[in-house]
Amino acid sequence: MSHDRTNGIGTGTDTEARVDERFLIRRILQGDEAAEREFYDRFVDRIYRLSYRMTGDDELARECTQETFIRAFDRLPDFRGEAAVSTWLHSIAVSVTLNGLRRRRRHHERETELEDARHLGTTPLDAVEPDLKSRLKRAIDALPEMYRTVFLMHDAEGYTHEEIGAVLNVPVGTSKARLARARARLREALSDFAEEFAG
Amino acid sequence: MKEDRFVGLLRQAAEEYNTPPPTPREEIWAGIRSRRRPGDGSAADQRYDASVRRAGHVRPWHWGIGMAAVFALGVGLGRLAPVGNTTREPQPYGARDSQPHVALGSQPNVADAPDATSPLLPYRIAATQHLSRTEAFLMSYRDGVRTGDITPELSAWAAELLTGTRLLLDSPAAQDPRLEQLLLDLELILAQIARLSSTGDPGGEAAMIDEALENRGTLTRIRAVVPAGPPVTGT
Repeated sequence: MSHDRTNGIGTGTDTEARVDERFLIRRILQGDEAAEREFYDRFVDRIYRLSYRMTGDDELARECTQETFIRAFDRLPDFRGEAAVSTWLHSIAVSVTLNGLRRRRRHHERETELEDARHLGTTPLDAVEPDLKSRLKRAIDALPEMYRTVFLMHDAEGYTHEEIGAVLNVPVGTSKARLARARARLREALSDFAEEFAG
Repeated sequence: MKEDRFVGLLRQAAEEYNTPPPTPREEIWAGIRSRRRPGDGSAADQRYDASVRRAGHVRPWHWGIGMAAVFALGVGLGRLAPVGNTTREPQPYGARDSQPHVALGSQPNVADAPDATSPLLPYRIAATQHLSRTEAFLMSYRDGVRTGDITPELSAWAAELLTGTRLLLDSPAAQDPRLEQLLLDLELILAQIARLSSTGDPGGEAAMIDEALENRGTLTRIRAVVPAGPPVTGT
């Protein structure tokens, strides 16, 4: 894992950090420019990383990260503090990124329809990529949105199920179930490589 | 397919999947700045905007209620003294002579009273009274945290002080930026303490608030505003 797993987003157990965050928010609401930057610096890496993991596109990840902070700054006066601010911010980021992905997908679909419909789903996945890792990457791409989001947050970015549950506003059990389903789907997609795992 | 081996492969694949490059912090920040503040975006503009926003939601009748309540805060307690009868000894203060009209909350304290005709005087006295009470409360709170005795009464006391704090924030007393900042911080702390009774402090929040109080030097800041010695008393 290339990032620091200990740099979690927090789910409300670190009360001192939350109190500190609230002071920071207060300063932002008073128009303190330095506080805005401090807030941004505190969270931008995690937000950008997550967005990039989900999109695989630097431009889209930048756009989503930017939009996340703009929305966060705009909505800060309404932030009630029921959750940690990092959880709240990550919720915005996931929502913004998923919307960005849908928008891009729609755009690509329109382009594809217009240009060449022949490439749409005509070639089986396994015939294209004999290599296991490439197959796996394509299988992750093909996961349903919510399974993929949980899978990437947990297995790629190291979020705990508690954190994922708080960000996606689902029970911890749902996060675990989604990860299990994501893994099951990936296993299915790689069934013809089964013997490679048997050793 | 062996589960451990498969999960290991998945984790490895996940780590290698869309591996993020270093965050382009400055580029993203520049985009945020340009979208949020197409003009200059200077700190002064922001302070102005904040003050406009603040003024925008304070209606004239709020002032009436606020003023009455601020007076009640002091007079109702029987502790608000006429200026001429104030028995407090002013603190040594080197800069005092050069700043005869120190605003509320400026260094070192509100005992540096302006002339008796100042329209801010009642608010300054009320603020001093309020901060004295808040200081006493915070001392009790900290004792309560140490003995593990955070009672509903303590939370109720916090709620009462929270009301006073908010009234002062909406009064001319908050024209002084230092006092305003202190009151805003207190508002947040008091709101959290007032909430403790309902939550029952399952996560040890009381101790954390206490620690934050310490780290932010809240009591020291209050004492910088409220002079030592006997409180301003009524006659």
